[in-house]
Amino acid sequence: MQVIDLKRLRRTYFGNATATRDQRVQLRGSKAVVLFTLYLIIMALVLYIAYDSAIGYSSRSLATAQSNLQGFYWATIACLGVVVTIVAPAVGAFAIVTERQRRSLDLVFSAPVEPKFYLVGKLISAYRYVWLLLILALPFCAVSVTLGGTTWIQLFITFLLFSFYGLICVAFGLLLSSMSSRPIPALCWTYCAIGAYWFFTFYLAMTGFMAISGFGGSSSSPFSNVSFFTALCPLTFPFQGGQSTLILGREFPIWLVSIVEHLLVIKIIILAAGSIMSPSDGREIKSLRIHGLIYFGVVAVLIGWGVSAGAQAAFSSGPTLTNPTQNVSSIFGRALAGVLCVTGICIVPYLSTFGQNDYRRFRFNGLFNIRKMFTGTVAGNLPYLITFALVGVVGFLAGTTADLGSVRSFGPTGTRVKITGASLLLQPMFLIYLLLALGIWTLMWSCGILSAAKHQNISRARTVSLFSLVAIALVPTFFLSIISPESLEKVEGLWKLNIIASLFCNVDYSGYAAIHGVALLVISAILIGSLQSRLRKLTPTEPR
Amino acid sequence: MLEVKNLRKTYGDFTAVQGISFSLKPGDIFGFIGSNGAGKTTTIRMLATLLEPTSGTATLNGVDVVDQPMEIRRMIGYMPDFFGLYDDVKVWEYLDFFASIYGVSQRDKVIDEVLELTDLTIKKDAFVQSLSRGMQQRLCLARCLVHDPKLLLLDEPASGLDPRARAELKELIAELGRMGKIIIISSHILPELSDFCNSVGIIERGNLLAFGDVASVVRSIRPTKQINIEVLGDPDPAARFFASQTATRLGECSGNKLTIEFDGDESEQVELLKKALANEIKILSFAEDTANLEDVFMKLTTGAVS
Repeated sequence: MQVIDLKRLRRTYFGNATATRDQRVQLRGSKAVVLFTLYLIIMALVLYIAYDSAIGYSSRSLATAQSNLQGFYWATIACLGVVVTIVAPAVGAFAIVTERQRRSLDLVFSAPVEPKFYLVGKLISAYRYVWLLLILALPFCAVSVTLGGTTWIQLFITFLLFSFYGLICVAFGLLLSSMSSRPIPALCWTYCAIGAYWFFTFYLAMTGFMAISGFGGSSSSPFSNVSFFTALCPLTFPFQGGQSTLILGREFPIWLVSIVEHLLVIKIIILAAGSIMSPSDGREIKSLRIHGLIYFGVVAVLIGWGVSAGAQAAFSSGPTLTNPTQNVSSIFGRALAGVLCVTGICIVPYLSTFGQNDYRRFRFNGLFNIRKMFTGTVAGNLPYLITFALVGVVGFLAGTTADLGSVRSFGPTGTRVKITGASLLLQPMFLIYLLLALGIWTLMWSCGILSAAKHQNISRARTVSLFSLVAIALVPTFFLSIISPESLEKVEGLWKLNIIASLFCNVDYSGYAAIHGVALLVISAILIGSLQSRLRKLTPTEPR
Repeated sequence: MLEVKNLRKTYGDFTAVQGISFSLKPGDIFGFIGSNGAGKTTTIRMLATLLEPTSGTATLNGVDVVDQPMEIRRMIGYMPDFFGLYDDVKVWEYLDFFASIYGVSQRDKVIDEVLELTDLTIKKDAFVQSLSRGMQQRLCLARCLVHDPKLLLLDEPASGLDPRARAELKELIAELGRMGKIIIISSHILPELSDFCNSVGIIERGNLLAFGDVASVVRSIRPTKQINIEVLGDPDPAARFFASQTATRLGECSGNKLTIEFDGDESEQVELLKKALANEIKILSFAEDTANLEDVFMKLTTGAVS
């Protein structure tokens, strides 16, 4: 059993040399003073305009004045949000790539430094910087408190949440910075990642809001007051102060849940960055893979539960169904296949490729070796992908079953159908969509192997693999929508060719899904078969 | 004790280092000689755990560079062929950062000591970007020394330095050798290496062509001594005399100068001179032509790169 090394932990979190050095540089000389002065002047100007427009014209009644003051407070917080969203990713994105360009990274890693120590140091220094920005803006926010727009507690909670959001931005920056060799692409990709994060969390928040409003079947929700996922959306920060959420029957302040969620997201991003910077078979890679399985399992449970709750709400208020079992299993099948496809696009091109990039070499050491599952070597990638998919399926099925321990029922009175995760596995409609997901994953994997076998450069292999997937799965969607009069809502005509069309229809098209699933498996088998001679040439080699 | 056995590094079809082997003991200063692209930096980076060897082993005091990289990093000081200095950082802060990541206790004391050793005490509070090139080089060396390493890997440390800075660096490295550290130093400036290195290795296209102490490496390319003789007047009698002697072979003859190859020890060399004088050969000068590392390097290598 591994004993926790307290000395190492203390060195990492409380006396981190990287954090100390970065902090010295950040606050050194006139550069910092000029930047902070400029920041305060811009904040003052923007907030003066906001204050003027909120208070200047219509503070006739107390209620109006109160409302306007709240508006001013939100404007202040929005300004802070914009500042954090612009500054924090830049701090993270430049952190590693500039050291790589200066070639000082070699000096650091020729010392007994683990990537985790280095990345945590960068996070700590960036966190201090974000807090500095927030504290500098405190006088402006204090105006809102003094005039009655908010309370100190609410303000502090909002600051706390913004600081953790800033930390997520920095973590994204560090991740992209560890993958880049130039600062500008690192920065651009980081802003893209933050944009995607906003989109994703906003989507989750909206889904949560709909659930609260009764659209998503919140009656039996274990997170009844505010959606569990809503807490990640930065737009909800100013409102999280006075709210709570029920988790498995217990009430928790939503901001506390939010901080925990933020920390979990940061952890997985930093593990990803660490695994990129660590040598193969490094501790970070193993940790990332284990965390990946746990996180995906939990998310799959929550999605399974969410789909289950949504389906129940939809069927209880909908028309009488002729074949409720078939309908329900089809919905569950499409939801799971959709989740697997989206996840697959994120990880399969990454894990199916091998080769050399500027810094590291991923040797071909075989296609399948279950013992290498957590090592980050090529042979361990396929077993990991299979385990990952299995965890997703099991988690999803567990989520559909776990409604506080009871068995779910669907359909209006008279056509009720009881269904559990286990019983779904016996439904042909559900299995057909699983077959489609399996076909898509196998195609993704064989595309990755194909591009890796053709290109020695792993970055190029990953790009080719990803774009070939996009070309196969998404481009025909746009192409077919132009030349085919039929819409995605109805899989007819040329749309029958599209492999993902059946996942996004409101109507069940399991017949096409089955054909696509089988066809993709056959195509993948042909691709891998054609690569046999090339793969044989890549003699499995161990480093030593 | 550093032991390198069949260390090899390949990138696809390209082999950067082809199974080199050597061993060094404490106090050894090993000059690693080779053209650009010969494989010196790759070897040094493998020893510094920054590159994973394709095959072979390298152990320092029994610790393997691949199996226990963190242990190895605690025992080595790596100075690359670039500075890698941070801007807006003072000299003591730079050293404090590295001392901290090496987990050095009593950092202030150690920093003062290495600054004194590298003669940078006066620049303790200066910003690193304000230092001259020679001082930056010494600061890099000071960085390598903060954790008192057993092995120093110095990749082209003298490049770009003026003669004075080079002489100071040379003296400093010699002093470190006397302190019992193993030092591997790669350089193009061959005469300097022979001054203070007690062993050398010549590498070309990833192959270690020669390894050993300087004298034995030189001997390996010229097993017999070459003696240059200058005579007064007609050189023919002298040529005839030396051609007739055992253990000598007449080499080049030009004007009143001639060269002989002599396969004997120092006392036999003295006897030969005595005999020549006794035979009334009018010798103006009689000197052994000592080969240097440059000769060895030029003879062994072809100038080809991998």
